[in-house]
Amino acid sequence: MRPTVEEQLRVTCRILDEIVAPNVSDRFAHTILDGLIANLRMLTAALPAVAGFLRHDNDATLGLLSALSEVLPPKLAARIDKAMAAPEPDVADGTALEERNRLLREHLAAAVCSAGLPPEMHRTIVQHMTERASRVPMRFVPTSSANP
Amino acid sequence: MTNLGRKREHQIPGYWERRQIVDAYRGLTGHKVCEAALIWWNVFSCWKLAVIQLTAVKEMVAGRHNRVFQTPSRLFRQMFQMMETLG
Repeated sequence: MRPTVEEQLRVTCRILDEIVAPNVSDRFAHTILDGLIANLRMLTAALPAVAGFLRHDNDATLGLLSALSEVLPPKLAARIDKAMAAPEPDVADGTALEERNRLLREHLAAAVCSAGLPPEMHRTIVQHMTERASRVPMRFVPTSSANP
Repeated sequence: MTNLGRKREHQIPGYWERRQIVDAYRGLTGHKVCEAALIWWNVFSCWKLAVIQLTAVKEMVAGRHNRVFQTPSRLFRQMFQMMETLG
């Protein structure tokens, strides 16, 4: 579909940066605008990878929850079983993927806080989190006025 | 030195990096430095800054704050990598 979302975001950034920003004289408003432009640039770069990241993360989180399940309190394990039994959302449904991710991460947060997790499970969780952090598509983009 | 995200502000490449700072501290104070304890403080520092930044992100998303903050994914990555080194 042309222009693509990415193309439209890119041109929006350019216009804000080249046309609007030089004419914003208020310092605070300029700082806000710089932040908005940087955020739009970050989103432009991240957007194509978000759905893929969520699908992968949902799979990885389910795998981790499954491994943790047997040492978790029964109530939490039952909630995890229920989440695992639910069908995967349509890959084209971004909202459903986000919601599935939110639910699975909520279960993981509860699992991480459970008392009595054995040390090897802690290591597995940290490895999972490291891997996840390295895959997150939303990577910091500095403002154009930031020091190089 | 505790927050690796601020390495550029706090260190001078080749002259005032982690090793030199620790050595200078040891030399000046005579205290021993436990590497694992230092990494713990590095992790804590990343976590603390991540909480501050996420709070700002939350306020922005809720419409209570107009300044844009991005999710500190780089901090998370550093923090978890350091946690892995602690085993």
